[in-house]
Amino acid sequence: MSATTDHRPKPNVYRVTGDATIATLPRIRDELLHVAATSAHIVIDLSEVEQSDISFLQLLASTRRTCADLGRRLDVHGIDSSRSIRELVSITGFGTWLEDLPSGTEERSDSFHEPAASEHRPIEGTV
Amino acid sequence: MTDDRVQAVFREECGELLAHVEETLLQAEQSQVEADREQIDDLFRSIHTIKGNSSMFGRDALAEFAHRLESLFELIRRGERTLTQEVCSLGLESVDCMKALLDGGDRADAITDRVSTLAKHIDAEVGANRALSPDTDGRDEVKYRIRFQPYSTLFERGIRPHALLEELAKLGRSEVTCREVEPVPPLNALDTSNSYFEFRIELETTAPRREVEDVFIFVGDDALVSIEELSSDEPAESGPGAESEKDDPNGDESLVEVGASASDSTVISGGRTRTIRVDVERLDQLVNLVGEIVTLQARMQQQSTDGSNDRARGGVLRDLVEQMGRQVADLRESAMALRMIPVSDTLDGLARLLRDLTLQCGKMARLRTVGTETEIDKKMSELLKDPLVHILRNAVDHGIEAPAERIELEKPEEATIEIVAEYAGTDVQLRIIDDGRGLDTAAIRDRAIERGLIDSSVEWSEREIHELVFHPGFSTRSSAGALSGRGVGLDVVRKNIEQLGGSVSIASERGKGCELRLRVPLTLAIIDGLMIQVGDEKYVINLGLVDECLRMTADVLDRSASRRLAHIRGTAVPYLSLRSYLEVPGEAPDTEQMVVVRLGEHRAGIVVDAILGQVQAVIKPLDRVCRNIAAVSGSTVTGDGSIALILDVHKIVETADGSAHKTRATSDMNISQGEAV
Repeated sequence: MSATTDHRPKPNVYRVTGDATIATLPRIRDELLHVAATSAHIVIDLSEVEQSDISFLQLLASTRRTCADLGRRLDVHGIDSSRSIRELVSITGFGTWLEDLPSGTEERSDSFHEPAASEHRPIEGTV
Repeated sequence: MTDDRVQAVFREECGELLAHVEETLLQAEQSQVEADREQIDDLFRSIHTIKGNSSMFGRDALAEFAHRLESLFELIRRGERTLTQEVCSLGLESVDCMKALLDGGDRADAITDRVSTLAKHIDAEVGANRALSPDTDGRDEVKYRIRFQPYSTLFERGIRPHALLEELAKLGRSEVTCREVEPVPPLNALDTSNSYFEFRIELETTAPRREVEDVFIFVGDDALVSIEELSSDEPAESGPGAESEKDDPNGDESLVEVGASASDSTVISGGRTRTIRVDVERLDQLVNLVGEIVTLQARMQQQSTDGSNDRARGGVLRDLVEQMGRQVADLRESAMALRMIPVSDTLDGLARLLRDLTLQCGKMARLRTVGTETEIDKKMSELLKDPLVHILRNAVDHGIEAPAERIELEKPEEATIEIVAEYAGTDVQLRIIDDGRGLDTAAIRDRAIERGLIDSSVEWSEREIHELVFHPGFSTRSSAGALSGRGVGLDVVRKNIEQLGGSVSIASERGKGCELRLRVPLTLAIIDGLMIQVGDEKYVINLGLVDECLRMTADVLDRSASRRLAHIRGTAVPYLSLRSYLEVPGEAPDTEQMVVVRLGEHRAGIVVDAILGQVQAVIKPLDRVCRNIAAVSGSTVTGDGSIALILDVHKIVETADGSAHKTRATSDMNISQGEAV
C-alpha cells in the first residue's frame, strides 16, 4: 500500500454556463475579478457555454492579463466541449493570438492554439 | 443596447426587408414585361441582407433558408434563369416562410415541415448540387487580403463580428489571424463593449468580389474594412497577419472601403424612405410633454385674464402668453410631425392580400395606390389596417366580377382597386374605388324590407338604401362565401372608423363600381374640441364631429313627436339631454344649448347647459375605474387645471337614435363573428 498527500491548494473553478456574450459580460467580469482577487489557482470551465462571441474572448484575454499581474495561475477547461467556443476560437484565429500573449512567470503550454481533443484538458494560465 | 432591444431592431429591420421583397416580387409578378435588372438586383440584395443579418443575430434557420433563396436569385441575376411568375410565387411563399421563422424565433420548430418542403422546392429549382455551395463554375480562384477592425459601435448595434468571419469562410478557404489594436487591459479596466482586436483574413475564393464585399454590407462606419485583391504571383507566405499592407489602408488605391460604399447604400435603400428610427414610447413621452405645455399655456391665459386689475402687469403677462402660445403651437406641430408616417406604411401588405384573395376565388385584380406619401399619425395608421382589410375582402368577394363575366361586360379582364389617399382639411381621406359590379340597390332594398329594416311603403333614396350596407349583420347573400358574406365587415368598419373620430361613406353606380370613403383625423393625440358644460362638470366634444350649435328654443323642438326630435331647417334630428343621459343632478337652465353632431350621414343633437368654446384637448387615457363608462372616451385637463371628460359621440348618437341597446348588442355579436371569420 502506498499513500500520497497533495498539499497544493485546490483550484477555484469558475464555470460559465449558457450565454457568454456581450450581454452577460459585465456580470462575468465582476465575478471573475472577485475570483481572481481571492484565489491562487483559477480554473475557468467553458464546457457548458452555449453562446459566445468575440467580446467573451477579449474577456478571457483580459482575465489572463489580470492573473499575470496578480501572480495567479489560470487554466481554461472545456474548449472542445463547447461547440460555440470551439468554433469561435477557430473562426477568429484567436488561438494564435492567445499563444502570443505576453505571459507571467511560468512556462506556458500551447494548448490554446490547438485545443485538445479531450474534454476538460486544462489550458495553462502561463502565470 | 440590451439584447432584447437589439433583437427587436433586428426583427423590425428584417420585417421591413421582407415586406420590400414581397412588394418587389408582386410588382415583378404583375409586370407584363420581363423584370428589369434593377428589380432583380434589388431582390438579391434584400435577400442577401436578410441572410447576413439573420446569421449575425444567431437566427440560423432563417439565415439558412434565406441562403437557399439567395442562390435561386443569384442564378436569375446571372441570367441563367428567368424571373417567371412561378419563381415569383415561390419567392412569395418563401417570404411567408421567412416571416414565420422571424416571428417564431425559438418556436420555429412548429413550422419545420413547411420550411423543409419549401427548401426542397427551392433546391430543386436551383439544382441540388449548387444550392448550398459557393459558385465555382468557370471562375478562377482569386486571393483577397482583408482587414477587418470592428469598432465598439459595431458591438453596440448587436452585430457579431465573428458571424462576418463565418460568412467569409463560406466563400472559400480562409485563414484568419487576430492582433491587438490596443492592449487588452486587466479585468478591472476592461470596457466590455470595446473592441481591442482586428482581424486579417486571407481568402481564396471563386466568388466574385461583390460577394466578398457584401459580407460587410452592414458594418457601415462601425468598422474599418479593407479588401485587397492579391495578384496571382503574390507570395502566399505573406500571411494574413503579415505587415505587407500600408499602415493606412485608405491611402492604398487598391483597397476598398466596403461599408461606406455609396453604391451599396443606394441599392439597399431601394427607393424607400430612410429615416431615423425613433422609439414610439419616446415619441409618446414627447407628446405628453407637449400636452403639459399646452395645459400650462391655457392656465397662464386664464391667469392673465384674472389679473387684469394691474394693467401694466396684465399687459406684459398677456404678451408673454401670446408669445408662448405661438411657441407651443410650433412645438406641437413639430412633435406631432415626428409621429407622422406615410400612408404607404398603412397600405403595406394589401397588394399581397389582394393577390392571395383573387387567387383564392379565381378572380383577377390589381391594386393601384395614389397619394401614398400623404402622412398620418402612426397610431391611426395601425388602427386603419383592419378596416382596410375588411374593405378589400368585401370588394373582391362582392364587387369584382369573375374574368369571364368582365370580358362579357366589355371590361378589362383584370379589375382595378384603387386606394387614393389625400388630405381633407385636418383629416386624411382614403378612397377605396373598385371597378366591379357596384351595389345592387334593388336587392339591398328587398333584403332590408324582408328583414324589417325599412318600411316598404316609404320612398327611400338610392343613397339611403346604400347606407344599409353598414347596418349590423346586413348581407344580400343567402350563404357565407369563402371571404365574406356573413354580413360582418362594413358595420364593423364604420364603427371602428367612427371610434377614431372619423366617418365612412359609400357611393356606387350599378355596373361601374363602388367607392368607399374613410375620413379620419390626422392624429389621435391632440384634438380640437368644443368645451361644453352640464351642471358643474365640463365635457369636450371632438370639434370635427360638430355640425352646428343651436339654442333650444320652442321653434326647434318638435313637441308632437313621441321621440325627442328637433326641427332644424325642415329636417328632423333626434336629440338627447346629456344631463339626463349622464344623470347629472340639479336643474337645467331655462335656455339650454344643442350641439348638433354628424357621424357619416347621421345627425343628432346633444343638449347641454352651456357651450364654453373651442379648446385644444390633449387626450389622456382613462384610468381603470372610468374605462368602462359608456359615452366617455378619454379625459383632458382644462385651463383651470380641472379634468374634463371627452365624450364618445358615437355611443351618444346611438342612444339619441333610440336604439342604443339593440344596436350595441348586435354589433358586439357581429364583431365576435368577424373575428372568427
